Amino acid sequence: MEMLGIWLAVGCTIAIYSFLYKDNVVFKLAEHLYVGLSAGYGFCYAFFKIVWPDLLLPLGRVTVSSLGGTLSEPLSSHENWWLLIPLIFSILILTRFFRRIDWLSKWSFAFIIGTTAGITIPFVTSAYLIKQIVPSLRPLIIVENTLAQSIISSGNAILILIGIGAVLCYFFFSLEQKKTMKVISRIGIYYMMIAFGAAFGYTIMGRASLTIARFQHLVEWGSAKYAYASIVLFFGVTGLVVFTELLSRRGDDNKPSEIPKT
Amino acid sequence: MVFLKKQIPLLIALVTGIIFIIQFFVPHPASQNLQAWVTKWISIVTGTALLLGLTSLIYLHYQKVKNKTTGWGFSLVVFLGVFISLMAGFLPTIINWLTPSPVLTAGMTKGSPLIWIFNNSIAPLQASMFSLIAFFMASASFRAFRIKNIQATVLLVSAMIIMLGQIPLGGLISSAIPDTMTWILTVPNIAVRRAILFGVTLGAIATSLKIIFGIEQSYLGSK
Amino acid sequence: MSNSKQSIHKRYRARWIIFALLAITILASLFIKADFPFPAAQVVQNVYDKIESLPAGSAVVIAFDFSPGAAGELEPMALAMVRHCFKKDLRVIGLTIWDAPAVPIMEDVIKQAATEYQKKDGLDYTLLPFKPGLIYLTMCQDFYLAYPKDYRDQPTRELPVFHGIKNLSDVDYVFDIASLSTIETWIAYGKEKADIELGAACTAVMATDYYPFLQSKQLNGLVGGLGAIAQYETLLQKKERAYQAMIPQSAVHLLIILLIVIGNLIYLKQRKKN
Repeated sequence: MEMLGIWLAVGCTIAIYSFLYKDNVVFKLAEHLYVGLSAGYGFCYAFFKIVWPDLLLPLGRVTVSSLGGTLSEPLSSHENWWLLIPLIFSILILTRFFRRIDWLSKWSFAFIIGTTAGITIPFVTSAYLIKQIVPSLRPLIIVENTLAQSIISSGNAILILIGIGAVLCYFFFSLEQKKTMKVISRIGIYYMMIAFGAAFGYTIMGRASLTIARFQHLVEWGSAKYAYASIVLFFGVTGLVVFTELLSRRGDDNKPSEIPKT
Repeated sequence: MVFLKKQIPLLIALVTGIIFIIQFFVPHPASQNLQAWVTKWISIVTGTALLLGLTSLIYLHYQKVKNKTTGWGFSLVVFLGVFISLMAGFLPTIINWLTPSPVLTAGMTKGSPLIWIFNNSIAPLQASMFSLIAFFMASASFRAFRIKNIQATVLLVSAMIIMLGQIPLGGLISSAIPDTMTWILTVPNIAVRRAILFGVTLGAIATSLKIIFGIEQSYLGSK
Repeated sequence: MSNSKQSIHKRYRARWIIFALLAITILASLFIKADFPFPAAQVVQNVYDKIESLPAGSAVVIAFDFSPGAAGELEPMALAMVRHCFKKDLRVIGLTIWDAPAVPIMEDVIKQAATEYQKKDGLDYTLLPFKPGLIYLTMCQDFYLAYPKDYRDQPTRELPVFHGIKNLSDVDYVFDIASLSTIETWIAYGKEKADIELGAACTAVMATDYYPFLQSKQLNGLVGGLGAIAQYETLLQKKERAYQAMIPQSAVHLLIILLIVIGNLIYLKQRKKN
């Protein structure tokens, strides 16, 4: 079963990689299979790990207990009639299946969105504004062991403060970007170019890491231990791509080709 | 009817929103327990909403098959994927229910058919899709990364320092490379990220207030 | 063949050459084995030191908030972190606030490390199922309300691994391994409500976003991207997938730099000509 799994994984990987040649039938098959499998997986997970154990099972146990039935395990503190509230909101959400009463689902969405909005405001104000403003302003003058270190540290702290102000000025559209504002905004642009350059450098690292990890697996799976799965399937999938391309090209010669963007 | 369809949801959002803003400032155990319970309920209701995702997907692809739109055959592959996942998820559980002692590893733990499918098809498919991006980034770097002005040059120099600073080679060439990288990340980068964070946070707070006070209603849909 | 078709084919060809160059670079460099020094950055060292400072029996929550799409980058970090915790005899509580697909990855990683260090499920570690919504706020108040059962459907209240833990505040360290914005979530809610000590690892793409939180001490350390993960593996003296990937990683970075330089030389030449 493990070997079959590896061969399936390799087949899926190479089918997706066939997109590097261009958009083709084999890639599309793999892509659509992925969508279907993921959706089914998500449904099973939501049912088996959320709706059943957190709602239906506890409510069923509460009902049995109330009717005088015996339970294999005693009721815990979270198993009580209060669960009727999420049950009602859950049922309201499912009214989306019925066009005449689907407006009832809005009550559930309003409950979720309203509560989340209310909770968000104080937490993000505290974590992202107050706790971020303080270290931007204090300490600006930092005393270290040597004078040179102190100058460098204090200089950096001042540079951060200037940068924050300059970038905020660049995004402040209520004032016309003229004279002083224009100069400050230009400083902000340079700060952003440095930061975005850093982000670009990191992005290259991140994307390359994912490809390297995939190749590490493919090389491992191409060994004799896995019956040369990567090598065999590389030629197999390539053959399939060529075959489907030849089939689709029949009578397709007059169609304009897709222009690669990058 | 308009009251039920429109005013009630707005009222629910207003009341729950205000309650939970106030709740933050009330450290009493009852207030804390209220938040714990309501967030638990939201988790359950959101879980139910996840079930809706599958039905929306099926409906979308059913329409494609019904109208025979371009590529409708691929929609059948989506159905096949859904069918396989659901069978792998539910069938072992049903079989175990019907037999006196469990005969299959059911559910969502290692060894169950659904997790086998996840490990050997869903995970490699997703990982491969993400790993494709590197190829297009390499191509874009060659075609689009141009030094047209000073700003682009600054961006390029910064990117190169970071690219070299993150790999062992950078430190081997000169210790100045990782040091400069650290300076970039801890001074100009912090300034920019923090300024953006302020903007995003103020935006999030404004949107939340608009939701609570019924100015923002897009979550209620068009009807 | 018409001119436009020729030009399209030319563009495809140029693209394929670059793709092939990248693939060959990675494949060739994967076979190069070398040992090299890779000193840890201070932000990586902070995470390592924090785990080292925890006494045996301390509880650590490891949040596996990443998708299979980012597993190539973050799975080595997850494995290194769990191994480090087990090496120090810490209790591990694995969970995810991101999404269901993280759960099988979590199970694989923790069980692999548990086998290596002979740790027992329920006693030394546990895995909690994914719950959507604002469950992190529920666990800030009551772990057992948020997660009445573990992933094997055992009542969490009865698990020895939870001894002395009622809510998130009772946990000694939270480490989030993220491919999406869950680090912000842990900062805004976990840190604010339960005053947790928080560290994080993230994909390289997101790494630059979290430096303001390091300066404000809302994060005690950050392992951003595969390079930083390789540094962590070096500190742990378990040089595995991330460390081994550093040679291909270096080769790819050099290739990209070369491509940018060549692209710009061509551009400058064309500009001069025009």
